[in-house]
Amino acid sequence: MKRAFSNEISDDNLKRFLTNYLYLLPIIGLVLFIFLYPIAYGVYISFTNFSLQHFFNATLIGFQNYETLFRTGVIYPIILQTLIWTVGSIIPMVLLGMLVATILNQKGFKLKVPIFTVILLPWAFPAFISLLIWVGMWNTNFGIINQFLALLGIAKVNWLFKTVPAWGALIITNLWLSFSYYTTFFLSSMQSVPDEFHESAKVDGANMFQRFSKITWPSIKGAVAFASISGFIYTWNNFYPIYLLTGGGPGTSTYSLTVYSYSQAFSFYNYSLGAALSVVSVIILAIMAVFMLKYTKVLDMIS
Amino acid sequence: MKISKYRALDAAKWVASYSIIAVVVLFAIFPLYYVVLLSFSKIPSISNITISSMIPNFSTFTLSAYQAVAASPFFMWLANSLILAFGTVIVAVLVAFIAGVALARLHVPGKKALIISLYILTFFPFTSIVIPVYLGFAHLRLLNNFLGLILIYSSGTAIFGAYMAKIFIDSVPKDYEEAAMVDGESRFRALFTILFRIARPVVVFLALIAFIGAYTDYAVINVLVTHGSLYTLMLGLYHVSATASGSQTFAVNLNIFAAFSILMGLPIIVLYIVFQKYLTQMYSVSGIK
Repeated sequence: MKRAFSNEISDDNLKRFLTNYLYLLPIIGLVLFIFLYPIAYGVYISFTNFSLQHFFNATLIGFQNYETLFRTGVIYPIILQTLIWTVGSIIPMVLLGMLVATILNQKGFKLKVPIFTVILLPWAFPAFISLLIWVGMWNTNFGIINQFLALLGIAKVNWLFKTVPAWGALIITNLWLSFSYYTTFFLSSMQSVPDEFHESAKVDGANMFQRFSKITWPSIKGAVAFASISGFIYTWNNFYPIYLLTGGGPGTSTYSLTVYSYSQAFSFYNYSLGAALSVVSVIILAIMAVFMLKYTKVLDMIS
Repeated sequence: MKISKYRALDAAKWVASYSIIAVVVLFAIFPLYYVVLLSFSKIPSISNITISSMIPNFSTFTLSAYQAVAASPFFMWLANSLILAFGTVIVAVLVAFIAGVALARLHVPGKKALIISLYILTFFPFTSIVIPVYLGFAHLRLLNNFLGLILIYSSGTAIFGAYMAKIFIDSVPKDYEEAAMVDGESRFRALFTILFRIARPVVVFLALIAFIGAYTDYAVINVLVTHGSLYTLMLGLYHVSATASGSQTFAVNLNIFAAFSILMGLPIIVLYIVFQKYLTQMYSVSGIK
């Protein structure tokens, strides 16, 4: 009698346990369906010589593609450029987002709603179109940016075809595309800090910076870490800005791993080398991401 | 003495605040202002733009670019874009929310490992899986098929969304759904109806991200759709007005491109403005964490 009773309990527990997994089934199903097979296939072709010449008779060639990348050394500058692109983009984005959110969040700031609406526009406008607009604005001979600079007596800058200006153009454009998102994210997390905290700190004589570091920062740092890390991953893989603005040029000097991999596959039809580049890119990204997630404790937040 | 110093500091703070915001607002709005002006002009290409064309001039005001857009199958493309975008919103938000609830509230052994592996899978950029996806979809007859597109668009947003939903729900006290369960609601209903209502800001945020992802996609649909009848606004825009690739500037029909962009961007901008109050509440509903 007693035994039957305890069986019933554990059956019930088991049922509960399985039901809990059912809730995760849709997402696991979706991800496996969309990602798993293509990724496995991509990893497989990185070990073959699949390309336009070997379209129908690709064979396994072991690590040759990886050897090509590392022995010739072509991949090292590309890795460095990917870091410049990602870190160079994410730092100004987060800083500007934080600055604008802090200003808008001040008690007594007038016109907060209309200003916030305008600041949302770059995020709300289709990024692909915005990039085409920016390509035109950066144009050396006819672009509006050089025309404005001419008013200030500054000579034409060859924005997209010289390495240093090209990085400037890429990072400013990317900043325009993304700072709204960070502003929204940070403003939202700052608003979770009750006003009374600031008021009482003010009464106690804390200045603006003390209030930021003692009250605002501790309550938003989780959100900042989460936004920065997901932004880092997004930017690392963000393909359009580089592809549309500079196409990786001049030469190969603004390629990121993602754009270089795409060009190898779709401009030079060297699919297997493109696949190998993707694999290298994901391995580097995964190592950095896991490290960042652990260090910032975001891993505990999301799991 | 002390008070006047405080006042001066306060005034300086506001001057600095509004100056910075003025610069940021100009930065944010200029490219869009530029497109709006072009859309009402006859300027056919970038080489015809001068500084003076940045000043609104009513004598050259024309709707010809908008008429050209109206003569294209704009509304068919719009309908396709909206079907895809709303389909993606429904799938992505439901999948993300259900997973977020499970991660936040239910006992699921091994969930940490699961979360990390799902996360790492999303590190593969679409460009690296496009060939296998194309071949797989061809096999499953999902090419030229909105269902296939909706599943692709949903997958990325759903994973990011599951984390967002989880973080938000973690900050909601359990009392809400426990009270509902005491009132006789089932566990499932308590979890979903009650939490869905409380989590509205994060749901709106995810819905917007899902919408914009599908509505503005070019790379995926360009590979998976070839039938003209399934074109979206993004493909239509390219078809009608622009030729751009790599670092080449688009050369033709600049004003039509601008008018098309404005018409295409309007629905999203309206959505953002309608829902902006939720966007700033993502973190603030449950109060102190």
